[in-house]
Amino acid sequence: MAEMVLIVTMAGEKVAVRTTLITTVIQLATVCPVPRAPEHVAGITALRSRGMLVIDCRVSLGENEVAECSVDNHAVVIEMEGHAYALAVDGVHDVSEIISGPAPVQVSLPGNWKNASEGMVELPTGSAMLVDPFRLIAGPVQEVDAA
Amino acid sequence: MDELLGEFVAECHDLLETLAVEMVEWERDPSDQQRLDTVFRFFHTVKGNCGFFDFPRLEKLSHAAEDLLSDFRADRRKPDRAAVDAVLATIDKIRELVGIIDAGQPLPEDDDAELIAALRSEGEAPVAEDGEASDEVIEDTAEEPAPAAETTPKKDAAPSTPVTQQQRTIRLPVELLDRVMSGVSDMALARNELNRMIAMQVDDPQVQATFSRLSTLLDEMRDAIQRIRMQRVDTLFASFPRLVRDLSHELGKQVMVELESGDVELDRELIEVIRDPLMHLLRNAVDHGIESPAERLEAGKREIGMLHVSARQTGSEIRIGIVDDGRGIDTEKLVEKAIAKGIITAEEAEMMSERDKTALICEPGFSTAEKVTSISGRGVGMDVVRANIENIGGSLVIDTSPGSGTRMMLNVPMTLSIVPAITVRSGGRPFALPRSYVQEIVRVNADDSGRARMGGRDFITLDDKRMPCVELADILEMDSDLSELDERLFLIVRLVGGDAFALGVEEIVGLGELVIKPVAPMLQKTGFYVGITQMDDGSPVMALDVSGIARDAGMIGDVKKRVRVSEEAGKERAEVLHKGLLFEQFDGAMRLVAMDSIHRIERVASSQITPVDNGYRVAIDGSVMPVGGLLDEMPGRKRLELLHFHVGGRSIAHAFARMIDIVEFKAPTGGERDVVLVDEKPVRQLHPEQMADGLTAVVELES
Repeated sequence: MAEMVLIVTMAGEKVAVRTTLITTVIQLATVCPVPRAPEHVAGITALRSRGMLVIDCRVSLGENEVAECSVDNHAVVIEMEGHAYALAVDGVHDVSEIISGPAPVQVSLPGNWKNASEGMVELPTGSAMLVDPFRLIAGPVQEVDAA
Repeated sequence: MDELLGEFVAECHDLLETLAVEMVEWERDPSDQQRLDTVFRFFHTVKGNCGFFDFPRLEKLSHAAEDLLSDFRADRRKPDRAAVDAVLATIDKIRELVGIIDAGQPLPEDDDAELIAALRSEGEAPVAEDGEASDEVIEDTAEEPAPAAETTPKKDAAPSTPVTQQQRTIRLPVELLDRVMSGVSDMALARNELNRMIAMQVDDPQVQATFSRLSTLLDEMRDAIQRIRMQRVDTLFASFPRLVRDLSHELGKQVMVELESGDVELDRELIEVIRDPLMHLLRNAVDHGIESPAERLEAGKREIGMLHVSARQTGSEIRIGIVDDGRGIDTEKLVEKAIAKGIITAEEAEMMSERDKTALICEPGFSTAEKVTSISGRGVGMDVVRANIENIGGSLVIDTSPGSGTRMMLNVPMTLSIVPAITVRSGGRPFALPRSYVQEIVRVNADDSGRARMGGRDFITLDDKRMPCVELADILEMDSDLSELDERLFLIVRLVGGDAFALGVEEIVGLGELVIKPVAPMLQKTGFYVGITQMDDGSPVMALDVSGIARDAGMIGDVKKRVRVSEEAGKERAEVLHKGLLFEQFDGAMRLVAMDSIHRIERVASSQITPVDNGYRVAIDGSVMPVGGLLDEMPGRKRLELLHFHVGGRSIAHAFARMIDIVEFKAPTGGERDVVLVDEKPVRQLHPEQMADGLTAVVELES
């Protein structure tokens, strides 16, 4: 009955997202940019007849100077308050179970990592940061305030 | 058990909707046995069901109400206000309790003794032996499905079976409907995709024929499903008589409500959205509009105030009118208050037209009542009402004439989800906006001397009027692909408040009905977007928040800017001013027509107008009327705007080339009845009666 997580790469790092929060994983088709939207909104896309915002997780995590990482067009779809959001990630890997955690992180995290992470989880393949997708959707804290 | 309970709760909710209307109607006409029977049956059903489900509290209540009603039915008691109040209060209580049951919570402990006492009070009063009789009834009704029949002297007064046959219906959760709806939308998208592929790759006519049949069927199905979401406006109106009754009793006024639903159907979501604004307008009408009986008599009116609520469908818009014959809005008082609150200055007020003054009522923080009563002034002002209506793409127009009443017209789109829209391209990206905002699309050449830059703003000249313009790409901070030299496309956008501006875009992508879905709050907060929609090929498009854009671009005139017309109006206040519509005819002449004489302004497709022997006719809402104002040659426009008049029981229409302004004018004196001064210039006034005379010939020749 261990909780399951999906391992994805975002901002060049493997992180874990609780599977219970994920609606589906999609291949992003066209992403249409939205002018004057918050910075971490990459644009909008449509999943069948449903339009949704695409969140650029790299920006959400406050990693403004992202190294060139290959975005393979995958996105994790999360439902929040009746709206669907596609979290664009750099790669999608396995589903895995949490062995232990989340445990608090001892160091101070840079950027928005501090806000978005729930702690470290131990997985069969090693440890990873467990991220809260809702906080990724909300975006960098200071920016939300500014908007 | 749970399912049965759910059924019971749903049934109660349904019946409760109409019940208050029945009761109020019956109070007005106690001879209407059928209404009384309906109310009686309801309590009887509730009582029976409560016994079954074990809700003693509800059972007792409905039992007491049933007793009282059976006294009414048996003529043992005449209805009086206290008794009807008690029944209405019981209906409310039952609604509340059923709500609690619905939420799955236990009913609070309370014995409703007060309410039951109210229901029972005076019940025994008339004759001593009646007290006994009603005791008997209580026992009878507790067991008998056809209650009170044996004990009543008039047997025919108590039919034991429902007279009116209920329409067969089923209950469906709204989510299921939404799911079906979005399923069909998905199918339509897949269809479009397939359509493109077939067009490119398949030559077989049989495949194409089958596909087009499938496509037609799908469209029909989509229409049908959209219809499912519609609800008759009666369900919205049903609560009004009760509201007005309670209010008018509380205020010591007499008000009669006339409802006219016109078989109008509205999207159920929309009904919920406009419910509160409408209730607020009604409250205002009863509280502030209609005078006390004494005041009314003094003013030479009937004691009973009339409140007329009507709904009409015109194209894809629904108009709801609330008309009262009360004292009207005291615009002078509004102005005083606006000055006191610092919304406008006295000098500005001097220059405001009547209509501008009336519109002040919709400014934030306004309430003209000298004292705040418990009815109005509950914190929600007219500004909130107007904002709510505008948020769904509707509008609110208030006309008032002091001493004789106020007319509030609410225009709302028929559905929230399907909007006739224009898709444009700007900064290389598509955007959609509701077509209702767009008045005209114009092309302006770069070398056109009509473009000018003044005071940091761009203007274009359109029909000799300067209109501020702004590039959508600039507002959205995008790079436009157009160079300064290219010709420009402008959408002439008219906002609800009457402000107009030109919105520059690169290209018109298309016109069509779009399903606009709400956008994530994050984007809504930007103030530029209202929703997400999809093109035929499924690609996503943002739907623009037109008023938000206008606000960002500084195109919304605040009250101060609205003071721009009719400086005469202030100077000549002592004289009676009429509101008139100034327009240009197709022959180029400027004409004026009194606002009051206009029934409606219609927008029709040119194809709706047919030439007849010596004139034109138009079909509007199923009736045919003659059209004046057209030349021999039909103007080459797809749509025409017509003034619609009612003259002596007939409808006539008058086509015009464009509306110039709404102005105030003095009624001409003496022989010069036809010429009025507008801005010191003489303008001929048209009188509908004269137009009708000229047009009669057409009709008679025809018939």
